[in-house]
Amino acid sequence: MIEEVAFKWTELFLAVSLLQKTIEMFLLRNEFSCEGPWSEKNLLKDLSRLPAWYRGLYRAVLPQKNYLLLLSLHGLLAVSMPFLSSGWINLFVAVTFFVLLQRWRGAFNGGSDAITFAALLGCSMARLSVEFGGSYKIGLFYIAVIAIMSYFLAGLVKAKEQRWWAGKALGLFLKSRYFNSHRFFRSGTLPRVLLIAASWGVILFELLFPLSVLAPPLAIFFCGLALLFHITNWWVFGLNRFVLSWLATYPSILLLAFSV
Amino acid sequence: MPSWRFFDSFDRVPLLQFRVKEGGDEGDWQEALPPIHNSVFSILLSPKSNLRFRYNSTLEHLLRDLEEEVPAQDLSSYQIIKALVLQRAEALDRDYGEVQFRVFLEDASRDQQLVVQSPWYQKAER
Repeated sequence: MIEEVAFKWTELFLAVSLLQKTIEMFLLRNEFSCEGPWSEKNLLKDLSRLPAWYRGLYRAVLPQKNYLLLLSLHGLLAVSMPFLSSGWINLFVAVTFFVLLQRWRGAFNGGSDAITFAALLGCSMARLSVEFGGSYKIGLFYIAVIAIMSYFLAGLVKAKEQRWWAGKALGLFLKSRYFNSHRFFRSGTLPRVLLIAASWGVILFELLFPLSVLAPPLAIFFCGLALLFHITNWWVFGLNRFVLSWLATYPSILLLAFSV
Repeated sequence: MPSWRFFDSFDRVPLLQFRVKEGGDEGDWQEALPPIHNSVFSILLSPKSNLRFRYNSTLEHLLRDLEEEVPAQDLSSYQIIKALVLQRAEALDRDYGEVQFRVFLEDASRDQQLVVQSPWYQKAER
């Protein structure tokens, strides 16, 4: 019963997250029209540098018309996932998500695409497993492990860098013209002590995240903290896709904690 | 298993600037990817902000592609950046004739290392 509830919430959050990505892509359609920077003509320049077996797939998503057609189908099936209850539909959504990303050299929005694809694969595995007489657990545990590792490895990378512990790295990210940080933070007027405290908080939160599997209250605590972390990242850096993309993995983390 | 490397690179970041030539006068360099103000609704939809992230990744791709000793003109990443700059120049609503762009790496102390400086491109040239 609890597995089914976790699965339903995963599917629902994934559907909303994919709807968000699909609508955003439609709003950007002029960017990949014949006149836009991401035109078919410009992207074809890379064709000869790609492996021969991959060229057909790449070419198929280059024309704006093809891309929008596949995007429409993908978006429609993605929002239908919670209602259609079919493992094959979930798998199709995962495959189309992957194919659509090939136009953007494998990722449009880095980490959020990677976690969404992993969650889609897990969701497909879970549903197909049930359809073949198994349980939801294999697919959902896969999602949980990937999500937990995403926090832990990100924390590990930061922990190895002295400038993160000293608050300098965060200060640089906030001030850099490269990142789209909120104008309040770009001014660089944040007190050093606040930068150090925030950096320590992020590193410890990410490194300790695997503890969430030890008990349900810990999972609730860490998932709540993670949601707050992603909302803060949206506010500070504009990373809006990360909120829903990772939210879709929390039911699996909670299920894993309940199972352990 | 995806590789997770969030906010791990801050030693040197690539930045893109462009300038236009009006009646023979070369204008000042300006940011091609200025920061985007995110409203409270941007938590739901923020296409421009996400597109900006994608252009940043494209700048990184361009730098990696250039290491392969392929002529810049033959690279998708170069053509995308060039088209972006032409698009940005058109949005200036000025009577310019040519556009030029440059990509440089900037470190924490704002020291810059020029990586690519394009030739001048005609306004309508794509």
